[in-house]
Amino acid sequence: MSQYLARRVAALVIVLGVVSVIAFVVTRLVPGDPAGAMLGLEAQEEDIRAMRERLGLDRPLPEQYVRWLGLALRGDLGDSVFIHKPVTQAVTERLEPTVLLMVMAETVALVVGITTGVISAVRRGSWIDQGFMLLTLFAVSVPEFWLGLNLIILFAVQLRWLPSSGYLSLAEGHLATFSHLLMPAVSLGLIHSALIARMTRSAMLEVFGQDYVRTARAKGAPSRLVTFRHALKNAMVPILTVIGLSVAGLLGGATVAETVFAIPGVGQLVVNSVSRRDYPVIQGVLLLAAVVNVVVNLVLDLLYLLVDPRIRYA
Amino acid sequence: MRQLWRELKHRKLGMAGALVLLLIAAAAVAAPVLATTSPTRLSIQQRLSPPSGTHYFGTDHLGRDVFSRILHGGRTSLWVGGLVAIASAASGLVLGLTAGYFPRLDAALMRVMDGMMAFPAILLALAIVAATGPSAVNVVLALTLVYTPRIARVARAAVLTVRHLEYVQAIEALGGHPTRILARHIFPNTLAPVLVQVSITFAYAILAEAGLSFLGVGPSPVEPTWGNILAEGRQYLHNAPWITLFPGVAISLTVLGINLMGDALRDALDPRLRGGN
Repeated sequence: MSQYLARRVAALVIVLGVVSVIAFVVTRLVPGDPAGAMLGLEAQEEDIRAMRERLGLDRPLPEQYVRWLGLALRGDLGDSVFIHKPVTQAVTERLEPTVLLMVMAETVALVVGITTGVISAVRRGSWIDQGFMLLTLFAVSVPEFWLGLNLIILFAVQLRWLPSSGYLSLAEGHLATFSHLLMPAVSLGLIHSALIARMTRSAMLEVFGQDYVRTARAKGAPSRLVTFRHALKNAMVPILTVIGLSVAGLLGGATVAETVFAIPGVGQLVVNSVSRRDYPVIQGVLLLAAVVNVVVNLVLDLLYLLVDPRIRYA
Repeated sequence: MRQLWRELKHRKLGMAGALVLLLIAAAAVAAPVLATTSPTRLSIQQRLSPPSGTHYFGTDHLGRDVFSRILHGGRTSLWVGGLVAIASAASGLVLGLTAGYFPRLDAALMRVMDGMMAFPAILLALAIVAATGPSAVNVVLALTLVYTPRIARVARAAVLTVRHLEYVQAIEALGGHPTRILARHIFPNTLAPVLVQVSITFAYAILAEAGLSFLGVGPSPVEPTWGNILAEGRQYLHNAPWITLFPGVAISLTVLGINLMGDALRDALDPRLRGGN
């Protein structure tokens, strides 16, 4: 176990190293001079030179990387060029709506996905099963921002049940926070429920074919008990894998949803930084998103051990 | 190949998907003929007019005909999606075959792929296009970079399943050249899973182009794509919902068609499912 853990952490460190190189290189793809690009066309020559020096752009690339990585490891991702704040501070200030949105969306995705997946598996081949599976295919075919826009037209413009956009923080009232995040979380969650539903269905069907399920049925265990106690519990490992995969999707999806619903979260910060050519922010958020994704997936992998005692990593 | 076709023929949903995709692609190709006016002709008097006999899908905030813009936009959107699928299939196959066949390169290549896949796809593409500048070509390049590792991983897994089988070892013992072994004897075994992954990539790429346009880094609005028609229509959601409705339907139908086709392809290629439903 501890040996397995050590191996996983070692792999994690290597992947994070690769991640840091990519995050560093991406913002250096700017044709010409990033300092000039950030300052715009009317910038003075000496301002550009000062900016180059401030960002260390006059140094060789490997040296720049080592310096950047060293600071990043100490929690310093540089300063935003546009809002004149450390990147970490700008991100922390906008973390609340993004984290709440992702948690709500994942909850929607899990509840909808596992429910429809289990029903489909139990009623395999029925019209309910076929209908659900067709719906999951619809869900992955619709652009998430378009689904969001349609929800706005229906629930905010026509019915006036929910606010069309914006955000109120938890400090300003829990219910208001919830009502502002409901539509974005549902649009994001529904799309991500599709993959979970399909995986739940196929994992359940696989387990239904196992001897111990047949034995449970044969000894007369109630079918509800067989479905949940015997089958769903054992189907959890592949379902956990899909949840891990959905983390990256949710991080990206939150960026889009925050733009659609004008939520002042980390995603909106990135999108705004793109038009402001605020490369340190883009670079910082890119790095953080990948780190969160990799770490969450490691934690989920370790959860397998708890969920399924048969798994012993040698 | 003929057997594959026989398998596919019986999958009605898959065939329906293929038909939808074919019709939309044909409409995009025939855009100059089918379009009722030029997609860029402005007509300020007729701005934001609802769907009617002259403007089937209404007009946008500059009085441009949405129907004609969607037809022309389909060209760019499908072209971007198709190019991304082909380019990432090619680079993914080369990387996957190399990693799977040469154990010395495997670990290094796959860690780089893992690193690239650690980023949320849309964020990485957004950052790349933000740096290189918004244009159709840069969107294709960014999305190809993002989807290559996913195909490489599938190709590598397929190589590993046959890598140590007797027939490969036999040709190696006979002194076959690695390039020839890869091309003639291993590559055909990777085709089925890679083909399925490519269809998924095609679908994702069309959605991602729309997403990037929506976030403001897609091809410039002068050149209509489904994504930027949607993005521009967003400000007029309250008084002109048709501008966002129709391109959204176009994207969803296209992607649904591809996904139905991909599903049928996966089932037809999976020997365990053969003969089933």
